[in-house]
Amino acid sequence: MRITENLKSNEELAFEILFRKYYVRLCCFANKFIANSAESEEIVQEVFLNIWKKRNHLKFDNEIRPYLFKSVQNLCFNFIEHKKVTDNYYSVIEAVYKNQTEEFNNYETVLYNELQLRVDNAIESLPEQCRKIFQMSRQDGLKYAEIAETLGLSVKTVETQMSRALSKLKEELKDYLVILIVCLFLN
Amino acid sequence: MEESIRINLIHKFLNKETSESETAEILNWVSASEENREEFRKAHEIFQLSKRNQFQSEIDIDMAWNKLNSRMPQLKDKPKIVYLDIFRKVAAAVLIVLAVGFGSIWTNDYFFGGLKSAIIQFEAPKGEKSKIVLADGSLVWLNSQTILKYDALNPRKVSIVGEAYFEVKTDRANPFEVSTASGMKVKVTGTKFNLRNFTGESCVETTLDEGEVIIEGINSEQLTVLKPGQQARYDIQSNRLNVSEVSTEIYSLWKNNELRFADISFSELIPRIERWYGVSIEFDSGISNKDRFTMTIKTESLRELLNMMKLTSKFNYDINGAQITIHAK
Repeated sequence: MRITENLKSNEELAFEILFRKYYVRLCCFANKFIANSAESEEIVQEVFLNIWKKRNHLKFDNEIRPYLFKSVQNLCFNFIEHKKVTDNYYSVIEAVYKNQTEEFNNYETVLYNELQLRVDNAIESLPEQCRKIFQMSRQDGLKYAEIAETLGLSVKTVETQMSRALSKLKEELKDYLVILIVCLFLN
Repeated sequence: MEESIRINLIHKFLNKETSESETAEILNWVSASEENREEFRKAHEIFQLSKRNQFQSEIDIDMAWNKLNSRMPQLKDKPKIVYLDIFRKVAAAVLIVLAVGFGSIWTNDYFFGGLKSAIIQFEAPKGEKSKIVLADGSLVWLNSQTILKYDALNPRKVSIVGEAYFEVKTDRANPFEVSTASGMKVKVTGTKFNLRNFTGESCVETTLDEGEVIIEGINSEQLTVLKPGQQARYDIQSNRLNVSEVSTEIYSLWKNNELRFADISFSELIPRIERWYGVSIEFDSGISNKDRFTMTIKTESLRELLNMMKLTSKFNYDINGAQITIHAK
C-alpha cells in the first residue's frame, strides 16, 4: 500500500545505529547535571523516544548530534527545576550551569578526550595511599567515614588525603581546564 | 574559604556528603561570582572524568535498546494489507478525502500511479473496539475481533467480518455497500444500522436504527427493504431472510463505552446483558419480573453485575462458559 510506505525499516536501522552511538555519551552528559545514573538513563530514553516520534522531520545522521545534546540538557534542567525545591544540591548545579547553554559543544571534543586521558594518568601518578583513598571515594562510591573505617584511619586523615589528591589533579590539569572552560565561553 | 578546604568541600558536595549548612555555604559561594562558578566547574569536571570510564561500563546498551524498543510504537508494514495506527488512519483518511476531492483522474493516475486497487484493512483486536471515519465521512464502529476492508479507490464499498455499526453519510448517487463473507450484501444511501456476522455464525444479522437499507442475496437479488426498527436475519445455508420487529438499540449497545439502565425489568434487562457480555442466558419462569433495575455498567465483570443484582433481587445463578442459568431462590 503506497500511502504508508514512507516508514521504512531502514529508518529503524538508522535509528538503532544512532542510539548505540550516542546513548552512553548522552547518559554521561546527563549524569553530570543529574548525578543519578538511573534518572540520567531515563532522560536519555525519553529524548530518543521523542526523536523517534518526530522521525518524519528529522534525519538520523550526525547532524542530529547538537539536537540530541541540547534535548538532554533541556530535560535535565526541567528535572533540576523540580528537584531544587527540596534538594539544594540542584540549586547549586542550576546556579553553576543554567546559563552555560552550549555546554555540550565542548563535550567529547578531541580536547575533552585528551583531558579524560590526562585525568586517568594523573590519578595513576598519585602517591599510593592518596590514590587508594581517591579511588575508594570516586570509583567505589564510599563515603569518607566508610573509607576511614575500611583503612583504619581517621576521617580527618581521609579528608587531608582527598584534598591532596584533588589539588594535585587540579594542578596537573590546570592548562586543559582553562582551555576547556574558556571554550565554553567562546561558544 | 581556604582553597584546600574548599576543594575538598566541593568534592564532598558532589559526592552528596555535605550537611545542609555546608551545601548552603557552597550555594552562596557559587552565587557570589563567575570566578567561583568557574572554579566549581573545573572541580566538577575532574570529579566527572575520574568516574566516567566506570560509569560507562555500567550501562548495558542492549538492555537500554530493548527497553526503548518496547516503548517505540511498532511499525511493521505488510505488503498489501496494512494495519494502521491512529495517526496513519487519520493520514490515510485525509489523503483519500483529498484524492476524492481532486477528482478521479488525479486519484487514479497521479496519486495511485495507475494502481488498480489499494486495499485498506482495519482490525479491532480482541477486547478492543474502534471507531473509524471513512473518507466519505461515514462512521464505522468495529466490535472486538472485527475486520473491515475496503478499496481506497472506492471507500463506499466495504466488506466486514465480525460486527460493526454504520452511520453512513447520505449520497443518493453513490450507494454505500457492505458485503459479507456469506455473499449477502447491504446497500444503503444514508442510514444507521448494525451488522453482525462473526466467522462460524450461521446467520448475518442486520438491525436498522434509521433510514433504509436494501438487503441482497448471494446472486445480488433483492431480498428485502428494511425499515427502521426491523431486524433481518439472513440464513447463510439457505440464502433466506427472516425479518422481525426488535428494540434496535439493544443491538448496538456494544459500541458505547458504558451500558446504562434506568428502571427496567428483568426480562428487558436479560437481552441487553446477553449482548454486552456476549453470553446466552436462560432463566426460569419463577423469577419475579416485578423487580426494577437502574445501573451503569462500565468495566464490571458479569459476575460482579449478577452479584450486584442479587442485592435487590432473589435469584441464584450458574456460569458455565458463555452459558448462564438463572433460577429463582
